[in-house]
Amino acid sequence: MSRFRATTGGASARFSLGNAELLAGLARQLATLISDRDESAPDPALARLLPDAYRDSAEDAAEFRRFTEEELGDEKVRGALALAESLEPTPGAKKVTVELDTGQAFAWLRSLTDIRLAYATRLGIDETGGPTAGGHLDFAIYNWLGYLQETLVQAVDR
Amino acid sequence: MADTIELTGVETPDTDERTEQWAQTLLQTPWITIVWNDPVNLMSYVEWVFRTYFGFDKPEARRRMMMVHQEGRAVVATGTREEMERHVVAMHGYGLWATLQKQDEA
Repeated sequence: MSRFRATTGGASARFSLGNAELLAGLARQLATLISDRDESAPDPALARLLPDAYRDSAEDAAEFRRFTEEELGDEKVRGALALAESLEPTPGAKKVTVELDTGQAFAWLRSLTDIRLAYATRLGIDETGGPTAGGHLDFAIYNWLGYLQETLVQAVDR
Repeated sequence: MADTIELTGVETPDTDERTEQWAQTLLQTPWITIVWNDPVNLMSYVEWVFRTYFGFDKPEARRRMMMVHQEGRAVVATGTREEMERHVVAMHGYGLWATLQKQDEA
């Protein structure tokens, strides 16, 4: 199972072609989800990725959103696409090696979080951390994403 | 402890919103940034965000992360409304669920 390890300049991990493709695909889906968002079609995953800043005032929340949401959304899309790009295999290679400097590792942590938040919404992850929808494979993938992120936090948190 | 700029502002308010903000400052009613618990974010990640973004030392970052985890929320910053709005959008960038409000509503 892929995991991140600390390097002198950041972190690195090796992925099987299948896992690299899986993660890159999720990152691209996240980018599409955010880019194609439409306020007339509310989506709980988007509500969690771009949450209200005010709990008790819909008016203040809407005003805040007007000024911040576009830039925040664009930043998340850019991060997700960069993550997908760094998982592009070299032709002929049997593994994908990802080498991240500290800045890239920080960006990966944010994008992995966004992917997990969206994935968790689709799986109906409840307060116990368990799924209420999806199959065993989906939950295994969700857990793998959490493990991958945990190892990346450990690699950069020194 | 109002400074010159704030006093000048109160003398020449030009919009209701600004008047309200100056009045806020003069009344010293601070705003707070709250991070809420969610079942997805890793404890280690939340602690790392608190250290990286707010500059808390390890024990303080851990204490506030545990507060989020166990009590469902933690106040992570106090200050002006504008500062808290910056913190909230930064937290959303990290994927943490954060909101701001006046301290006395907490």
